[in-house]
Amino acid sequence: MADQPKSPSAAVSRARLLEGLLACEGEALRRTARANSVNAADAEDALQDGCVAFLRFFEGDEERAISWLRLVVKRFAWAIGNNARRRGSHLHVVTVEPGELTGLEIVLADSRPGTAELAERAEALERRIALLDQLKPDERTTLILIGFGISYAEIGELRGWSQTKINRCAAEGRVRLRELEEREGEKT
Amino acid sequence: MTLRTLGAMEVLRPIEFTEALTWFQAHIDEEVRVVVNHHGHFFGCGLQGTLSCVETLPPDNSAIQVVVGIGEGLFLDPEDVTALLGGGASGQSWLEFRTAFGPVVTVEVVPCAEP
Repeated sequence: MADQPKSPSAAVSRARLLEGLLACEGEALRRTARANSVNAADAEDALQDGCVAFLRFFEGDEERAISWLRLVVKRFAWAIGNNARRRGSHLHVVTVEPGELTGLEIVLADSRPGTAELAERAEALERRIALLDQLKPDERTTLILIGFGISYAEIGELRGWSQTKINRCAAEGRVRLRELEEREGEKT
Repeated sequence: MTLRTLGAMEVLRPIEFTEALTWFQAHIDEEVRVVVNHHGHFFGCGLQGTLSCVETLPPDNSAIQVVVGIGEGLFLDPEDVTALLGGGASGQSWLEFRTAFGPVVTVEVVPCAEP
């Protein structure tokens, strides 16, 4: 997972690549964004978000860059549209008693997570990944594989480990992870 | 969930999405055929090429793209699909992704052409 450019030269080459793509395919990308957005402003936002994502995350070959960017722009456009619909779906009912400025206010809100909650979840995920990085390699591998739903028996086959080793790595990894989380919590 | 009847020796069973990812990993660099259908409707498309890689997509890495050839391919969100694995006694297996909104995608390995 490349959250940040690995080196300045990688970042620079990505920026140059993006510049070239926008020069050659900018209009086509705008059309793609517009075709998948409710309005022109959302389309522009989707294109901008796609470009930022490209600078942060793209790691493939140059020849794959345009199709990657096109898909990511589409995905941002759909996400922006979904968020707008979600906001629009909130039902706001206000009843006001005669002579009163405010009365009973009922807001029926969508229960799906909003942008702020999603951002919090993403931050929590990043913190957990950082903590996983501090585990011993075998402990980290075991917990990640378990997290992916791989059974202990399958992990044994994949890694050539005994059940005892897997149990130990899982148990010690979890304990260490809890300790790290507690330490992290004390710091904040 | 109702399973299709495919034949005496063939089964189609629901699988976890992680198992589908494993299937893709096992067939990297092989020739695959991806077919989209909306059963009961005259609608669909297909593509064929080398399975290059499977990657997650920003910003949250929840969705994936299965890259066929040099860039285009199949993209989907695990939340929107049910994954099924088909296969028979021949050992040939294929993946099927069903959406609640209609379209079904099938991915299968194209057997090597005879020399």
